[in-house]
Amino acid sequence: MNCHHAERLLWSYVENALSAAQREALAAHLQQCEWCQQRLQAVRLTHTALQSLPRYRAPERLVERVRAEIAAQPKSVARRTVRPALWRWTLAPALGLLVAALWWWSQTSSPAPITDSTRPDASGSLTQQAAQEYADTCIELHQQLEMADWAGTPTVSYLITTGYTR
Amino acid sequence: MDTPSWAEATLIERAQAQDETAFDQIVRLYADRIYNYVRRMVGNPQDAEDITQEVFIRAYQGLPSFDGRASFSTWLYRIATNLCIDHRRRQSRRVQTVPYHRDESDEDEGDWEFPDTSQPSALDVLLNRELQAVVDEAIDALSPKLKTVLLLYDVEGLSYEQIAQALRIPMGTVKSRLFAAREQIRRAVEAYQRGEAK
Repeated sequence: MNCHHAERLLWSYVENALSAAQREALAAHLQQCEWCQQRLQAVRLTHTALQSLPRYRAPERLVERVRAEIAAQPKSVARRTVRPALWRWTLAPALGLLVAALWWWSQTSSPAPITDSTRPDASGSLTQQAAQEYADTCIELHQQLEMADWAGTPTVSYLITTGYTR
Repeated sequence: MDTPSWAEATLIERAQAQDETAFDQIVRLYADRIYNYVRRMVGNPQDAEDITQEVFIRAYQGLPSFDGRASFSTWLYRIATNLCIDHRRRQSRRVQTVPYHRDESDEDEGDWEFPDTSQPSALDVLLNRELQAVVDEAIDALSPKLKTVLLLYDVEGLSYEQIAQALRIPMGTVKSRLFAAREQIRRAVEAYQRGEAK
């Protein structure tokens, strides 16, 4: 055993948490290594100091403060924590359906008539604009789902329409 | 002050059924442990009291979702750790922060007690206020990640597994953080022994 290995075992040695074989090997190393012996003394002292740290006691008024705070809360507040989870589960499919509807609408509705004949690229611009709006909507929905810390499986329509990947 | 697990489980069940007397008992049961941990995490007694109160309020609100997969105390330590980290973030965001300095008057507060230890060498350490101050200072200097693990293991007596559950980190990470934290304290103790302490 070298000093580097021994150093890793000193804390467990002090805590009697080594196997018999490890303990024996470390003891043999310690017998011939003064540097590790000194290190062991420091570890022992530090360990004892940590175990002997004074413990702070909570102020007596703490229990009263907690009781008063709980009494001031509406009775239903304890149930409130369940709601976000349900909300997330219903939100995900609803948003998926919404995105699917938007996609269907963008595919079926005809582009606005081109009135400005002096701009030959107007049709292209409108298509690009619609595509951009659609992409923005997807990104926004995606971000909303991330914010909701949604960990469930995405709906198929959501995957198809947004190209959602985790 | 160990309470049998069945008694604790009964208390929790009653508290989950909105029995406030049972929750009072839970608070009494854990107040000192949580306060000690929070106090060492944040340093300031007033903040520690406020945070400890918030820990129990959050626990009360979260009781319906407590499923007993982790022990109740582990769950409380988890809430406490998160609140302490939030507190630290808020503190670091403040432009004008007045750091808390421990002074002599704190020692006279009388809100702390020494653990009962039968190790003969511990008595020397208990009497050595200087060394205690060195260790306290070294703990304060630890990063929150290291401090959390060190306090939960060496001061609060949680197991590796309980800490891993409370912090939601792998057990290997708990062990490596504990080693790093302890080594940092050990270096401070050695420096003190060599007379290098401030």
